[in-house]
Amino acid sequence: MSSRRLGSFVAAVVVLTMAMTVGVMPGAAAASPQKVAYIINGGLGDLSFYDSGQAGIDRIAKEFGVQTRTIECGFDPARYSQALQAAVQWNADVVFVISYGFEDLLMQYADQYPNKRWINVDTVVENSRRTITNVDFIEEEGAFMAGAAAALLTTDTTIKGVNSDKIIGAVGGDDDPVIRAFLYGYEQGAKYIDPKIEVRAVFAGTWDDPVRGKQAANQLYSQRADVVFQIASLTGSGVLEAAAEAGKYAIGVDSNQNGLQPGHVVTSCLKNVGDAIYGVYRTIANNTYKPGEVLEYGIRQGGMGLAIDDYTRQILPARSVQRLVEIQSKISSGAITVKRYQ
Amino acid sequence: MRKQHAVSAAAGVAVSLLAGLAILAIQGYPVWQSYAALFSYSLFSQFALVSTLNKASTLVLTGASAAVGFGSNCVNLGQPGQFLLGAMAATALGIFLDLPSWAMLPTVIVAAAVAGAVWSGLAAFMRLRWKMNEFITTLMLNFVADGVTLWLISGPMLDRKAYSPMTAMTNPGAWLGMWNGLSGAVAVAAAALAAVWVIWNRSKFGYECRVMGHNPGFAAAGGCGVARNFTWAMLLSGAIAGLAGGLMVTGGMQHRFVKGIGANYAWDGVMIAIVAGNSMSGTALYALFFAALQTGAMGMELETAVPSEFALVLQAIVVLFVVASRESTRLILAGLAAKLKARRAARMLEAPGEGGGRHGSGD
Repeated sequence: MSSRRLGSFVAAVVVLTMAMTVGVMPGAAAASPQKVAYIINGGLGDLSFYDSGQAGIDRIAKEFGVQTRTIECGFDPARYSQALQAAVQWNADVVFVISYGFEDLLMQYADQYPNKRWINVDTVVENSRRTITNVDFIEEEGAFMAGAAAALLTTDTTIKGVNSDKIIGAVGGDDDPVIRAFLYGYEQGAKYIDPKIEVRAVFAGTWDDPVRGKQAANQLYSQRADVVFQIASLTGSGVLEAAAEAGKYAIGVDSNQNGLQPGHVVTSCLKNVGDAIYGVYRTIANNTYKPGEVLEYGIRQGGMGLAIDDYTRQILPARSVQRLVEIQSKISSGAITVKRYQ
Repeated sequence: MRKQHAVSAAAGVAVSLLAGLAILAIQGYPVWQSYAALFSYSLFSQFALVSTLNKASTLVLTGASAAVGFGSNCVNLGQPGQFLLGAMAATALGIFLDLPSWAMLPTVIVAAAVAGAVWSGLAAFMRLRWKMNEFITTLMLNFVADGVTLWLISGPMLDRKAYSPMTAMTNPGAWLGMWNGLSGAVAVAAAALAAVWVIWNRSKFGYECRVMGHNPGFAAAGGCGVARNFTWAMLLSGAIAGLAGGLMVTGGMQHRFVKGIGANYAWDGVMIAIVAGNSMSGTALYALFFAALQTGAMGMELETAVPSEFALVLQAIVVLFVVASRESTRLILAGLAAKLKARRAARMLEAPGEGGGRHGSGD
């Protein structure tokens, strides 16, 4: 095609654009929001972190009758700014965003569109106008519980398949501050039960590859770990699978994953992303929302917790379960203080 | 030749949009609303158009890189690695060098291209020295580049304040400007494409490369320095891919090497070069089209809940149709041309005499 034709094509596109630019102005946020967007860096279907958030979004849609949309970036940085822009262009009034990998972009968009409510989930991102509300989870507390559960399991050789070594494992997605916080709490919890317990961690380097998760878990099981805590979203589903195949144990994360591999998932370290999202939205709906806050969700606030159900009781003896419940109430009351990673 | 490309391109785009229409209708999505959203989020607003152009600037370069390679019969499939190393070179220099913009930008951009060329040059060297097929070596070098850059951004170059693996921001001297959201990378990419177009279509080297692409035996017999041209074509191909990576860091808004920065740009570029039949202007047009699809897909998902993966379906149909129909389009066009010629000749023959009425009734 000749360059002249290319030129006329571009010219045509430009003219069309000018003719059809329907000013997408950032209108002032309406009194009651109509549209809610949920932007995630990764993808749904992990039965864990992102799905937990989606449950909260679905609840908002049902209870408040607003339109909701989820934009998945699938860990593709090319889509990060597009996702934010699409939400703006769609005229979302409230944007919940899990912004791993595009914190800078979120700050710029929040500064540029101050009339929208930007709620950043799971990390703390502060823009210069201080309009981003942050939902920060105290992972250390939930992970402390997971560590305690893992320790109670590995020290109890009467449980089927548990060896005499006091080794527990963990598989993280990336080596990042949030995963480090999980590990920090996990280790504290384990040492609270028995100071001689050794924690071994492997980072899979990916959040959406169950095969790598499985390899990492098998590596830990072959090093005589009895239980592996997965902190890796979809990658972690491979950890749960490995546990079932090796006749060992795993601990789930974020959502209740106990039933995914029955008899092999001892418990799950709950991170109630959905509840937190729902909670923040409720403050918007009843006009008590304050932009720019950092909301901390730990065990006391119900943001973190441990999923103890029949699957757990199938594996752990009653006294261990009893002990976990006691620890949970001690953390909640402040009798046990869990040290924060940063 | 050119007419044939334009016809198959237009037909491919039309067929893909029609097939997409059918797919949407079968699945019960609002067809027209979805298409309206697809284009209003990719072309018909200032930001939409700007986003499409920004994306196209990357695709044009990865596409041109693949076109230079394939068009000269070098199977460079190392664009992903060359892209990453280009981005890494731009990031590293951007962080450790602090110069005024006029000195910094050219340095950083050239370094990115050089890094890409080094990576493809390595494969070229292995081909010439040990006869290792570049098809394999370039692919394998992608894994090396991926591993090395991931290690750098989660280890030595990690930004400790970040929540996921990424480097610190580069110094502002290494940032290309933005005009109303339009990245300076678009201008650099356009200039680079123009330069490659001239080399490819107007220089002796480009001519020899194209001959090598069509018929390597003829090129060698005709006196082209095949080994030398192979090396330079590989280097050029790698440099363009490296440049694309460098522009991801110098342009845009993030100005750092984040995990997964290469996304799918390189493979999209390979696909674009294939549909464009390794022509530079075709590469530019398909890059724009693919960029528009990818940009608009997210808007379509928002407005009518059509999964954004739908853009991939459209792309795949274009590729399949254009590539599969290239030969038949050529035959059809050649057939039409021959028929016209025959008819004209027949008329010429008839004109002097009083030809029978049966002539000229088609067929």
